[in-house]
Amino acid sequence: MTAPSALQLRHLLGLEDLNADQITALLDLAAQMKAVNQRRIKKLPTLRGVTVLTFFVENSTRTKMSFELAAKRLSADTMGFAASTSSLSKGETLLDTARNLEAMAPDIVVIRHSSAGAPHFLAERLNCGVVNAGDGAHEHPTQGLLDLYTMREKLGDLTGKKVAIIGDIAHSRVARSNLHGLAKLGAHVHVAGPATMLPPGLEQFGCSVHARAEPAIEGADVVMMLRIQRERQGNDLIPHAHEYHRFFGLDAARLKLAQPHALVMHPGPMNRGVEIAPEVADGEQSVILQQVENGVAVRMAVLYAVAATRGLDAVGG
Amino acid sequence: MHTIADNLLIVGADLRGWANLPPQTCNVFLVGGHVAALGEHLDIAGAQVVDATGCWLTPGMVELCAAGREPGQEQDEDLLSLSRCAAAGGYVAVAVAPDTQPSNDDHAVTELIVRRARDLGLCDLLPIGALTHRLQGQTLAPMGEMSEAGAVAFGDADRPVLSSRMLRRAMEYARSFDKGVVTQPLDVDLAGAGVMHEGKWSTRLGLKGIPAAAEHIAVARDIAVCQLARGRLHVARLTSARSVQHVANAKRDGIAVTAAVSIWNLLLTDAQLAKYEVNLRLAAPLREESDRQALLQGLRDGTIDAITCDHQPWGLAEKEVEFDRAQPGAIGLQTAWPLLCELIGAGELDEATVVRATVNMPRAILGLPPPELHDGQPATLAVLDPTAHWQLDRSTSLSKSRNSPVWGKPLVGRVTLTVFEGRVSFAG
Repeated sequence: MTAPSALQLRHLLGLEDLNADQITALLDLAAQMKAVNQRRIKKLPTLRGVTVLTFFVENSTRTKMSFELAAKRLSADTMGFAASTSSLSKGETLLDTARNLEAMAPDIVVIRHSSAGAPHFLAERLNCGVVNAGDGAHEHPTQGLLDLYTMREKLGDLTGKKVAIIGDIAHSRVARSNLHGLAKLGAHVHVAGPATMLPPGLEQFGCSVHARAEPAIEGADVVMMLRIQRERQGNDLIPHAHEYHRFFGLDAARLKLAQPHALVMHPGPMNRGVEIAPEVADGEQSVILQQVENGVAVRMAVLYAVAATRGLDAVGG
Repeated sequence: MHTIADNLLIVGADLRGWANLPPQTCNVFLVGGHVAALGEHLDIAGAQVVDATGCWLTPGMVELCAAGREPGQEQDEDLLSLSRCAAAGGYVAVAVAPDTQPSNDDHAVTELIVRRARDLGLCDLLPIGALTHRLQGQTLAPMGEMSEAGAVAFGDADRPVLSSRMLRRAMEYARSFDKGVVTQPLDVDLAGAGVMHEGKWSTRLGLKGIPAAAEHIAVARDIAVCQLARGRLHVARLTSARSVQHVANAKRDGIAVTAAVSIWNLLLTDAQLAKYEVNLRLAAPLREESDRQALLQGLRDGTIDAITCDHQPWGLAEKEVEFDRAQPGAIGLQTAWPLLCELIGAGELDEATVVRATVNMPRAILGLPPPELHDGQPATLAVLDPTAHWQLDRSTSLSKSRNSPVWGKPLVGRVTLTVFEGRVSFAG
């Protein structure tokens, strides 16, 4: 397996930084990785001797596990470092912690952080590769890639496809990565949510913006629902979960507005009965669990591409 | 102490900003710290010559908004390093903000600053006393005693007085001592946890925004309260187009309001934050190009009186961190002149506006007399070279902090010589 020459990827900080060729090359690579994941022995020797550090300064279970599994399937060594057990809770700065981690010579650091721009901060100051696993409300590029992968797998070429993204766009890094990625692959994105959750200037992403869910969902090929975080319920953004579900939740009736073949997606974890009705989440059109499965393959592709760019893969020696 | 400016002949300089002399090319001879002679063709045998051809000879710039960090945070700056930065930046007086630890809400702190300035002899340090006790907006600070100790104005630095009633009383009380009030208007509730201008770029970067309305709502309030209190208001830094309009309307209505703008807001916009440049996280947030244009226009037409370099030193512990956890602010005293040259060079401001906004109006706002150049008076002046190249780095920076957005970048425009009360406070 070799990385295409289009894929020069020293870090992965956001999909904003990638062009369509790079995204397509990563998705193609992920397809090869997915084939590996479907074998009986799900392991490649490619990143033997490469150390991948997961540095999660914000809670996450599935993204962290997905990255660790991806690294292990490429035979990399992994170390995990979580905020609750780390020195950050003892007042050490991000930079000091990161430098200490770097002293242990990881090749790639996968970082999740509540501050937008934290991965950029590390990428400028550390010598290893940095992969963004979610930074504040900025980007979550591997989630964006796995969403693109899942759409492309089911729908083929995404050019001209209508993708609805519904929910709290203002606070969503998933939305931003998808907005960048989908625009680059030629899809038409329609975002919708209560106006309190639609930040100014969304038009810069080339999307259409709706204050109600229906026009976004109508005729869509994909309906992606975003998680409504509990702390945002019953404050100044929405009155309560019940009202949110009534006007913005995806139920069977609202899903009927979309194309019959439309995919239902959600980055997880879901609030059943809030942004998505249980029968839709578990329905035939739902690809939510396939997103999770594809996440491992996409993260294998990303780790491999970053390692190969840095000459760390088995071929590069 | 610093060397007395003696037997020094400044040759070929362009006079700028002197109240008693129009712009003209002139030689100035200093003896024993005093102006000994002035003239177009002055030639003194044996004098030490400073070739100032093409340079401005000004009364020195005056800064309205600088944090001295002494007492309390001397690891980031102290009054000596602040004064050295000021002298190297061509400043002869600096208004020192009250947000020290403890805050300058007592005559003892005011006296400390005044005494340090006198002992150092590098520039005037003019204390801005707190408006309220501990800058908390709850009870009046003892403005009378602080005035006696040398406070030139009152304000709570970057903490807005939340209560309009309290602000009214504070402005009234300051009036008893014939002092103006300085505010940094912000509707704190509307600004929320914002860390940059709210707009296209905050959405793109996923950072919480401070809407422009959070400022101009508060500018309008402060002006209304000023009118009610029959006080004198100086708005420390305007950032938005609407705020400029409010100030223009207030001036038209005859309300005693003045305003300044930070040099960063004249040069840059929020688009420059694309890489999460932490030294551009500022208390006066960078806004959009339309705001920048309105601020420039406000300066040109006199709505905005002064330009501040907004000197806010912070150490690495406060700045080498995530963008949304960093303290807002940048150092600026040493780099004001080259940045002003950049604005002049780009045709965005003319020379007369720059002189008015950095030399004459800041003096008027602080109640200093208009600067004059006469034979026989102790010399206070700055020679500013608009063409010399340099950069701010470890070898040139005199601040204890390094949080400059232009650190290590090429700069054009350098201070040649600063003389304060007869002594050379900086020689480039």
